[in-house]
Amino acid sequence: MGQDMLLLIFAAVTLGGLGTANGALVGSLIIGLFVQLSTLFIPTELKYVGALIVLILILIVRPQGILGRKERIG
Amino acid sequence: MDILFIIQQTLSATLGVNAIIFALAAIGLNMHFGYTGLLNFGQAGFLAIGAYSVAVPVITFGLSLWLALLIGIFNSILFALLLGIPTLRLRADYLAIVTIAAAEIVRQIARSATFNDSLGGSDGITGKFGKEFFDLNPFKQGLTTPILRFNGNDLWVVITGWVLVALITFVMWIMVNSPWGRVMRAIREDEDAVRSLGKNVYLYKMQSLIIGGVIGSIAGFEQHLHFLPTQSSFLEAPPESLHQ
Repeated sequence: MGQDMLLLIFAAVTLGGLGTANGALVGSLIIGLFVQLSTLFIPTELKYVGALIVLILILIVRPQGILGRKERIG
Repeated sequence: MDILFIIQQTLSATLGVNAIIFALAAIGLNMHFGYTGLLNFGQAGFLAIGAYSVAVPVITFGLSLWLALLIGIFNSILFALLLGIPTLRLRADYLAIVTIAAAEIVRQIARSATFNDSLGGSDGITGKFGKEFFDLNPFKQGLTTPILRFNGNDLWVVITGWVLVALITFVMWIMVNSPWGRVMRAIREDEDAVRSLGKNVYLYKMQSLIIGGVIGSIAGFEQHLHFLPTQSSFLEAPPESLHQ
């Protein structure tokens, strides 16, 4: 049902910045390359795990994403 | 058609361990989404964390079951902190994305062939389990009536499980009717209003996430005791059935 794909898309959009079109493009490129290249270092079956961990790390250091606008954070 | 058999099967499913697992998971999720408005899509992840962090210490490292239960609760608190720290300050949809991502991480790691030795891959964990718990069983002969049957072990799991459900429901009822619970419901309705009244919304949301998560992991503990074949204390086919 495309669940793996869906989560990667979420990761890409969040990484680029929610609500920015160019951000989605940049985020997708980074996530796509990361998923495939990370298999050099981690087991192939865990490549999606790497991308999802990146998603969580991004939210810790830069919650608005790469191109996102900084919002007021409560 | 054997009507009595159908009634018996229906009653054991209604009172059985599966009902307890889902009841506990739902109570935990109700804390998150019902009272605090946290959009948690990863409750199954909490169940898996609870289930695996009890099974792995007991079977792989040979620790006692009671110690493993403490480890399970500790791990679910840790998991809730991991989910909450990056997201609870942000908009609500971030928590939704991160919880579903984290639950997926847990599932993929637990079922991967890479960690087959410690986590059992997609076969789950097999081994001697729960002896301390079943030694306490005062109803070893089980229950045999025309409409309801449980073997000794199942009866003990079901009785303790429903007592646990009742206890947790009661504690929840007390909590949500306290001043603390009023703040929770106010956060659900309007976060900014609560913040302007000087409450630390972040802290309250984190407490809610942790409490609901711990209840979810208790549902994961139950998941273990469930898959015991008749008359033995072996564990079969654990949590992958969570994610169907």
